[in-house]
Amino acid sequence: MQLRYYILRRVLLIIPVLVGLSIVTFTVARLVPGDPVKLAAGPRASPEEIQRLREEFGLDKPLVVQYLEYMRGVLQGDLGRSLMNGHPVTTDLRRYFPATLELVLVSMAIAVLLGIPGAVIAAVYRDRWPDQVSRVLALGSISMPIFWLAIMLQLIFAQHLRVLPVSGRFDARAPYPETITGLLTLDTLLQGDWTSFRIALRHLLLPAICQSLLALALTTRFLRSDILDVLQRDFVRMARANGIPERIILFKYVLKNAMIATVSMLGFLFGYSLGGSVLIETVFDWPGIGLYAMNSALTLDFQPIMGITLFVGLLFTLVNLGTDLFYGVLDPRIRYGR
Amino acid sequence: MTSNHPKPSPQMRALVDRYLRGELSRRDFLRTVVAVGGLTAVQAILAACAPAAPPSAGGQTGAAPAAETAAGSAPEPKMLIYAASQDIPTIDPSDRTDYSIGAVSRQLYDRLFRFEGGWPQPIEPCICESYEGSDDATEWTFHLTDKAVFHNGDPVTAEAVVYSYQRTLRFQKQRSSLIAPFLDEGGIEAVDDRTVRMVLKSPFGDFPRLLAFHEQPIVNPRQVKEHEQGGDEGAAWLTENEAGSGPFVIKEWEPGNRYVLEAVPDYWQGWPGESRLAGFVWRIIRETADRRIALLAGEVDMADTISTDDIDIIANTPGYHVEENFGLLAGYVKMNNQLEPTSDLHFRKFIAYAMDYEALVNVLGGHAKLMTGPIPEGVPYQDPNVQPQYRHDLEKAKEHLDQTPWKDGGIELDYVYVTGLDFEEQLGLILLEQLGKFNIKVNMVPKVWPDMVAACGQPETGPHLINIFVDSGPIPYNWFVEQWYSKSWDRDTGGSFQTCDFYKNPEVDTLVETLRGAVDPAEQERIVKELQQIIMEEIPGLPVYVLPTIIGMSDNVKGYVFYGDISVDFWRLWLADA
Amino acid sequence: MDTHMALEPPKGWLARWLEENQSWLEEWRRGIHRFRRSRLSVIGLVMVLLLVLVAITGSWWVPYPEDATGALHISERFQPPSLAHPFGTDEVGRDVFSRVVLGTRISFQVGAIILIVAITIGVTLGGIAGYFGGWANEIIMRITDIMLTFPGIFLALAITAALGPGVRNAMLALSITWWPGYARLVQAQVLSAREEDYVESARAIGAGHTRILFRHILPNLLSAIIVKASMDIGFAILNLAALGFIGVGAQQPTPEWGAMVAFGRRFLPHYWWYSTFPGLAMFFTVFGFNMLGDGLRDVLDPQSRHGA
Repeated sequence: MQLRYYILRRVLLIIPVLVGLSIVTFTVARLVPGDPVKLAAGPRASPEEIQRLREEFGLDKPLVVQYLEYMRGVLQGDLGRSLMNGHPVTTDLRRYFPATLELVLVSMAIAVLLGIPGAVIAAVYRDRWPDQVSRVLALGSISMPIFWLAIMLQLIFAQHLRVLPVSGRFDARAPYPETITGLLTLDTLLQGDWTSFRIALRHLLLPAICQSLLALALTTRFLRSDILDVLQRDFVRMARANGIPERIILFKYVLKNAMIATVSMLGFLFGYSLGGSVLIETVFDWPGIGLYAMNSALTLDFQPIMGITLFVGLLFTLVNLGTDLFYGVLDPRIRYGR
Repeated sequence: MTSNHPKPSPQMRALVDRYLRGELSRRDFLRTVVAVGGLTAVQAILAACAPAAPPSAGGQTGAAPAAETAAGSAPEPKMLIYAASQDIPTIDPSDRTDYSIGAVSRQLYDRLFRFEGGWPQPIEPCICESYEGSDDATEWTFHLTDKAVFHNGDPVTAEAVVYSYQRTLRFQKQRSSLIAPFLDEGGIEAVDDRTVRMVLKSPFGDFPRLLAFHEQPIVNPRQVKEHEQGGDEGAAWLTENEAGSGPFVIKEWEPGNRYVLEAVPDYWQGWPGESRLAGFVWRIIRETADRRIALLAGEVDMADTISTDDIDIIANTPGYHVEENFGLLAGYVKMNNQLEPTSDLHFRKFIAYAMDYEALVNVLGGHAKLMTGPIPEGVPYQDPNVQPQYRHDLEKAKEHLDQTPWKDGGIELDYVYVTGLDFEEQLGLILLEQLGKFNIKVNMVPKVWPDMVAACGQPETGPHLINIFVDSGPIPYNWFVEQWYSKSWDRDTGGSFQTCDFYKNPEVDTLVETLRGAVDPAEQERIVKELQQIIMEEIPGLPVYVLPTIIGMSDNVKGYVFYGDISVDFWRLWLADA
Repeated sequence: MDTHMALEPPKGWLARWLEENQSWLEEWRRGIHRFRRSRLSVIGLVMVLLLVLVAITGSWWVPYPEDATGALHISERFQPPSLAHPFGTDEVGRDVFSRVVLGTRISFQVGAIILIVAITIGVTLGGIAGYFGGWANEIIMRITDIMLTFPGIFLALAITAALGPGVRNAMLALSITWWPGYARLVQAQVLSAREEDYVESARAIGAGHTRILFRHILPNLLSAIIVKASMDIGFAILNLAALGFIGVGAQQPTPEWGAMVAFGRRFLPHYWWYSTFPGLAMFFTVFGFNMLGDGLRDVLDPQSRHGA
C-alpha cells in the first residue's frame, strides 16, 4: 500500500511541474523584444507578407490564447514549427536527440567505469596519497572550463597529432551507416560493421571525455565517502570478525550498499547532462539538441526554444522520477520524508 | 556537351557600340543581335563594356571547355568534401535565400540563366536560350531550350517555369522579395511549351540581370503535386527533397549534420570540366579555426569563409591554396539620420573623417578593400572618383565637429553589431578609440541578428551606429532602393536592416524612381552617378570596405570559378588524382 | 545604587551574543583548526586571497590599463610573449596580460553579484517555505522544482539571447537560474531547525516570527550557505565565461575571460597565447575557490564529509 501510494504521489506531482515548466518556457520565449516574424520574412519582405506570417504563427492573438493554443498542440504532440526552416519542432527533436543521448550515455559510462575503481582506491587508501591525488584531480576536473579544455584537446589530438578528427559525428568520406536507434556506435555494433564502429567511436571520444569530467569527479568523491560510511556499519565489523576476507567484504557487501546513493546521483547527472551538453556540442559541432538549442536561441527562433526546453525539462523530470522510485523501492525510509 | 558560346564577331561588337551610344533602340538592337548570332555573345560584350570593371580578381582560369580535354587522361569522378560555415535550413525553391541554400539549390535545380565565371559576371543561358524585351522594358519574352529534363524524366517546359515563379510569388517568402516589386502572379504566362512571357508592373530596364541574380530554381510541377499535403504546394516535402533538373541529386539528407549530393552523369547540359565530381558532401563546421584545421588535416577538400588570419597559413602549406576574391559584399556603418546627434550633417562628416580606415584594413591583414563611393566597385556605373572621399583626417574631423552643438563631446553613441563577428567588433573598437579622442564614448552593443533586424524597424529604435553588410548584386537600382529610398523604411511596417540610415531626401527618391524605369544605359549611368554624388555629400552612412570571399582548398580541387559571392558552383569542379 | 548601575552597565550586545551563540562558535573554532590541518584548503584560501588582491589592486600595476578600456595598438598585433608583454598581444595589439589581470575583477564582481542575488532570493523564499510550511511551502517548493528542472546553461542562454547579449543580462539570467538551489537548501535546513527545541522554546515565550527566523534559525543556516556559496562562486564564474564563450556574455572592450578564449580560438595554434592564458586564469581561479570550498565543508559541515 505504502509503496503504491508513494509512486502515485510522485507521478501525480509531475503534472503541476510540467504545467509550470510550460508557463516559464512560454514566458522566456516571449521575452524577445524584437519581431521574430520580420526576421523570418527576410529583408525585402512586404507588409502583407509579414502580416500573413504573423497570423500563420498566431502572434496576433492575446498571450493567454496563444498559450492555450500552444498547450493544446503540445498535448497532441505538436510543438509547432521553426520560423527559420519550417520544420516541425518534433521532427527536429527526433533528429537531434539520438546524438545527444549517445554522447551523454557514453560519457556516463566513462564516469562509471573509471569512477568506481577510483572511488574504491581512494576509500581504501583514505587520506593517503592516492586519496589526495584523486581529490585534487576531482577538484581540478570540476574547476575546468570544459569549453577551453575541449579546444585544447582538439588542438592536440586533431591538429597536432592528427590521431582524432576535429569535429562532427562521422567521417564525411565514409558511407554513413544505416541507422536503427540513431546511436551510431550502437547501430554499427548491432550490424557488425566494425569499420564504421571505429569511425563513430573516434569521433565520439573527445566530446565524451570532456562531457564525462564532471560526472567522473562527482562519482569518485561521492562513492568514496559512501564506501567509508558503509565500512563503519555493524555488519561490516561482524563480517570482519567472522574472518571473511577484506576483498570480499569490500566488493560484495560494501560496494553494493554504497552504490545506492551514487546511482541516484548518476540519474540526476544523466538528466542534467541531456540539457547541459550545449558547450561540448558547440565546440565539436556535435549535431545534438544542445547545438540545436544554441542555434535556435541565437536566431530567436521561439518555437524550437520552447520545444527544446519543454522536452529537456520533461526528460529531466522523468529521469529524476525514475531514480526516485528506484531509490524509494530500495530504501523504504525515503518514502516517509520528502 | 556544353552549348556553344559564339565568340563575339566584329560585326556584333559594332552593333553593341551603337546600342550603347543610344543610336539603336533596345528592341531593334536585340532583334538584330538575335538574328546575327545569339544572345550569349551580347551578354559577354555588354559585360565587357560595363564601365569601371575591376580587373578579374584572383586571376583564376575559367572552366576549361570539355572539348579541349584529351581523351583518356581525365581523372575518375570523385567525392568532394566541402566544409561550410552554415547549415542548410531548407531547400524549398520558394523559401529562403541563405548562401548555403543558394549553393545547393544551384546544383539540384536549373534556372533561367546562370552567371558565367569571372568578374564582373556575364550572364549565360541555362534553361533560357534567348530573350527579348519591349521598348518600354515592361514586357519580356524568354525562349527556353528543348533539351532540359527533370530528374524524373519530365521535360522542363514553359509551364514549369511559370509555375515556379508563381509559387514563389504566392508564398511571399524571402525568395519572392527581390522580384515581387516588379512582377505579379498574373503577369507571368506560358505562351507555348517553350516560351514564357512576363509583363512587369512598371518598366525595369535591368530585368534580365535581376532574374539572373535572383536565380529562381525551376521546379517540376507534376512532382510537387504528387507530394502535396493539404494544399501546401509541396512545401513540407520540398524542404528536404528536390524536384529539379540540375546536375546533382540528393543522396543523403541529415539536417544539421551532413548533406550528400550525387552527380547526374548524363546531365542535360553536360559537364564543363576536364572531369566532374562523383558528388559532394556538405559538412557543417561552424568555427573558422576548425574549418582550417579540418582542411589542413585532409578531412575536407574545400572550406569556405576562411579567416583573413588563416590565409597565409593555408597558402604556405604545400598542397593547399586560397582563393580570395572581392565580390559585392559591402560593409557600412549606418548612421541614424532621424536621431541626434547623427541627424546633423557635420556630425556625420566628423565621424566619416574620424574613422581610421587604414587601421581596419591592417587588422584584417590587408585583406579588405576600402570603398570608393556609396556602392562597391563592380556594380555597373560605379564611380571611383566621386567626391568627396572620406579618409582618416582628425583635423578635418575636428573642423566638422566644431560646427555641431557637441564640440566638446560629452555624449555617448551606441554601436550595434552582430555578436561574435570579429571583424564587426574590430571596426567598433576602432571607432571607440578614435571618437574617444573627442570625448565621445562609444558603447559596444552586440546583438543577435534577429534583434539587430528588429532594431532597424523604426528610426526611434534605430541605433546611432550599426555595422551591416549589403550585397544587392550587379543591379545599381537595387543598391539605392534598398538603402536610401525613403519609402523603403518610412511606411507602416518600417524598414529592414539595409535602411537603418533612415535617410530621407525627396531628390534621391525621385532619382531612384526614374532609374527604375530607365531603359537607356546612358540615362542609367547619368542617374547612378548623380545618386552617388548626393550620397557622398550627404553621407547618410559610412561606406567602409568590401570583404573578400575566401575559400581554402586542396590543390587537387580543379575548376573553381568565382561567381560574385561565396556560393561555389560544384558543377564546374573536379578532383585531380592525388 | 544608581551610580553603581551606571558604572557597571548591563552586558554589551557583543558579550551577550557570544554567550547565546557559544555552542556553534565553539564548533567554528574547532572547524578552523581542522581547516588549517588540510593543506589543500589552505592552498585554496591563499590562492583566493591572492586573486582578490589582484582583482582589487590590478588596475594600479598592470602595464597597460588602458588596453581594457578601448585603446588599440594595431601595429603591435600578435606579439608573442615577451618581457614587455608577458602573455603576448591580441588581434588589435592589446596586452593580454593586462586584460587577463583586469578580467579577474570582472569575474569576481559578476560571481559575487550572482551569488548575492541568488542567495537573497533563495534565502527569502526558502525561509518562508520552510518556516511557515503548508501552502506557502507547497507553492514555493513547486516553483523551485520547476526552476530546477531547467538545464541552467540553456535557460541562461535563451534568456540572454532574448534580452540581448551583455554582461548585465548574463548576470540576470544566471541569477535567475541560481536561486532555486539556495531555496531548497534553506527550506530543508529551516524545516529541521524548526523542530529543534530552542525554536520551540523561543516560540513558547512569545517571540515573533521574524525574530525567530533571524535570531535563531538563520545563524545556523549560515555555515551551510557559506559552504555552498564558496563552491558556487567558481561555477558562477565558469558559467559567465561559458556565456561569454558562446557570444552572449560580456561585450568589448571589457576583458572577459570566456570571450577572450572564444576570440583567441580563431587564431590557434599560431597565436596560442591569446586563448591559453585566459583559460588558465579561469581554471586557477575556480580551482582555488573549489579547494577552499572543499575545506570549508569539512569545517562547517562535518556531517556530510563528501569529498568534492
